[in-house]
Amino acid sequence: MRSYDQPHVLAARARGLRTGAIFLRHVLPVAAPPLLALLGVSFAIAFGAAIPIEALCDSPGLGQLAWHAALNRDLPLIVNLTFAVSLVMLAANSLADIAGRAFAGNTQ
Amino acid sequence: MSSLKKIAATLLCIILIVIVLATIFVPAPYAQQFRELPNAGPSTAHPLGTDALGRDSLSRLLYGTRVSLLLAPAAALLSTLIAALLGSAAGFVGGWFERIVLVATDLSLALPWLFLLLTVRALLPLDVPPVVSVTVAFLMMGLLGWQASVRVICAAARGVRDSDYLLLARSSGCKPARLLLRHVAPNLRSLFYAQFWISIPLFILTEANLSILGLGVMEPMPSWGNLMRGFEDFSAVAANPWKLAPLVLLVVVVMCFQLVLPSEEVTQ
Repeated sequence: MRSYDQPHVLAARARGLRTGAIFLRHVLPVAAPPLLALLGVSFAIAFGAAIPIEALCDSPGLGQLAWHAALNRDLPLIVNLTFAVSLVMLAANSLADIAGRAFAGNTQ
Repeated sequence: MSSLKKIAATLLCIILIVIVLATIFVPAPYAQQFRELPNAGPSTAHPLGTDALGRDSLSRLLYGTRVSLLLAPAAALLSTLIAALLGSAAGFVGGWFERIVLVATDLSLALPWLFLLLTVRALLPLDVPPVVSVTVAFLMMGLLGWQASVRVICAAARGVRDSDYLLLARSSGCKPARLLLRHVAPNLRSLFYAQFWISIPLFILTEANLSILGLGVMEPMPSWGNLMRGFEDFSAVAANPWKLAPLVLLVVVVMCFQLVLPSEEVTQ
């Protein structure tokens, strides 16, 4: 939240904008690119965490499917699952990248 | 060094001493069964009770800590070695070699880490002796966990490439191998230490994850992940809170490792 210390925020505050407006129009767009990059990375963490969580809580899902496939040595299934998850992560990362660039372009 | 760091380092040292001396004061060997006492509560003979097969929980915890705390630094050492070699060579040579290494790193970073480990583990035989399973887990984590470090080391090596002392060494006729080993690598040493230290808690958690899924260290050899396998039965854990001991130890050790991480000014 270093963005609050920047001069344009001070200028906005001096013009008498309210806190909500400053946050939405002046702070959030500047802070967005790193946050979006973080969003892309957290996809990977979420998919990784799905495996032990679904195995422990016995709830059906991609993670449990991958676990059973690994235990039964069902190679085609687990290789394709990994491939599918990689595609989803690639898409999420690319989208986050594009959105981040769009924000960076707007603020410059 | 802050006081929090000192406390964490002291705790880690105590745990290390305890597991080194574990053989002296464990109540029983980790695989010995007390068949008349399965699922027993804490007592003087078994301070943490016994598990469903009647094995002493405290000795399993101590030996499991030994396995986990040996495995993670070993895997971290292997992955840091690979990352140091690849990263410093890529940053030093530059050009097409650097581009190929970085593209390969990016590609393998895009793969989901745990899914990748599951796939590689499933490719290898599952029905193996415990010692082999430990070796496989350590090799797998070490050989697949170097990507993030390569990027950092490569970026640092690129900075060293244009330095004056390297120009001097080159002008006095050093061969590339000598430049890399005597001039580039020693200057990146603090970075290697930092990367090694950072990857230890990561590998501790990965090993616990794999073992909890039954794909890491195999029974009867204990490890933190193995010891946490009964946790899906929430009511049993709630009734016997001392069964959470491996989880508490895992959390404490990972937190200690994070706290004693080399600070920014050391790694720069």
